[in-house]
Amino acid sequence: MVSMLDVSGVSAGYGRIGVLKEITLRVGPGEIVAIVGANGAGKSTLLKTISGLVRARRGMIRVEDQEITHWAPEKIVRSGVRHVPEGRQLFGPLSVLDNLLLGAYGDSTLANRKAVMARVEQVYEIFPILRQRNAQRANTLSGGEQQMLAIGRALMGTTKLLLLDEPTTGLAPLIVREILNVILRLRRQGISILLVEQNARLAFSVATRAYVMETGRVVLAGTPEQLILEDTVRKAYLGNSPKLIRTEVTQR
Amino acid sequence: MTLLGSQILQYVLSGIVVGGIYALIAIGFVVIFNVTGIINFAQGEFVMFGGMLAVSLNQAGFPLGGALLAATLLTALLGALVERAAIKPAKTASISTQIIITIGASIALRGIALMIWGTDPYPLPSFSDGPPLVVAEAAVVQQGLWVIGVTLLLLVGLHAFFHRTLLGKALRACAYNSVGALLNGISVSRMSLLSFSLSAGLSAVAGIVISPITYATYDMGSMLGLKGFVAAMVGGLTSIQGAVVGGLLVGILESLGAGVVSSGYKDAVAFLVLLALFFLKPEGILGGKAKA
Repeated sequence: MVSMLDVSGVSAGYGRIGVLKEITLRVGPGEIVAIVGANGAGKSTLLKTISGLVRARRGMIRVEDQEITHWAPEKIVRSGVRHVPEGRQLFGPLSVLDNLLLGAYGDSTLANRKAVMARVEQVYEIFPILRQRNAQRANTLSGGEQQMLAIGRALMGTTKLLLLDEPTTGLAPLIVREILNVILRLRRQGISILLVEQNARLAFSVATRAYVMETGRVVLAGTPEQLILEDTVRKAYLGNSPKLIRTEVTQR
Repeated sequence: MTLLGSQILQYVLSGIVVGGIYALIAIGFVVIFNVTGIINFAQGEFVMFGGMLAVSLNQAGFPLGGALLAATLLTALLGALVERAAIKPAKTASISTQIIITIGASIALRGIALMIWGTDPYPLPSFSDGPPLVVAEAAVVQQGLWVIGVTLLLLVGLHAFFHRTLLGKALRACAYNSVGALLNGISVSRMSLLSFSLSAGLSAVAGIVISPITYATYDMGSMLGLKGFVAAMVGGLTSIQGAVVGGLLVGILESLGAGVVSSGYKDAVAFLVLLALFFLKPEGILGGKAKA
């Protein structure tokens, strides 16, 4: 079966500093794959390398049957890979609607305004609060709303693979639950997800598979059920408790 | 009205006319700075090319309207060319390196103009003939009204472009957050090209509308560019509204300075304003907060 994303032997970094060392991982179609690891393990750099913000020095990145290793970020976006980055990177002084419209920028499948507005409507259906904030400037939204807008903006294109960088960090428990529900819902709609999280318990609650990163390398891989049995994972990320809580999809 | 009063009014009106020109040039600085972080010191040469090309095209037989439009478009193209030839190859270099490159580009462009047109001043016909407009004993020549009208029209147009069109919003998006722009498929490189082109076109218009008043010469860009830069700095360098306020302020102060103190100090006024700004309010009058 063709993978949604194949990263093989990728090394990357900033200037002379190497961050990623020979990373190999895979996201299958319709999977939610989690990457857990401490601060500075290289998780965000990995996402930036996939979305083209950081250049891979070695190795190969493939999306479905296309190699995208040396593509420019805007071309990678057009191939359906959308990165929701750390810090959300919204267009603060622009309205919620404008942020969404720019999310569809350069998507040639959305030729007319009607198609774009239909996409906006879909995003508002997933995040109803954004509809109420429609004309508000993005930088006046709460943290949770900003995260929803960042994810919503990434859904404006013809999205096949979503790269989420710590989407729940700093958010209230109720909002965290809502975002996890959206992640599960997107998966059911056929979008594959690569989820970077420091909070392993949270990541394991939705992931089909997970990788553990330490100092730029993948050190462990497996299903959440397998990984929680590993001593190192339990001690480092789960406070030594082997309990695994699965987030269930709540019906609206 | 007293004699002094009507004189002051005359200086202010003349200041508004020349301030409109400074404002257009200042907006050129702001548009490029917002998108790329570069202060483009070749801005004044775009002003000059606008004026010179309009004169040449008009003398070659183009009707005035067509010559003005063609000169604007050609200068916009020249802006795109400068970006591709001089800025893009250095895009991994530091911003200060890129700014120095624009100084080099400005010297090169002035040199090219000198070779094409020589040192003679060229007249461009006024856009309309007729008596000056008299307001309470102060007069504005018809071309001055054109300057004010064209400036206002461009301001309205620019506002619509930046706030109503997706392309304009994409340019602002680049200014607010270039990483966010890249991750949404907005090519920052293409936006940089567009900003140079737009900004060169705006400056060309400034050069064209001022040429019937001052004549066009190959070196008219240096001083106009510097004044536009001062105006942009006064306005905080990131805001179009700031650039307009800065342009008018510099224009009016300069005109008052020349009239009340001595016309010999006309050009010094703008730089005194800049110095005062650096000492008193280094972030500019509308500095830092408002953008595009």
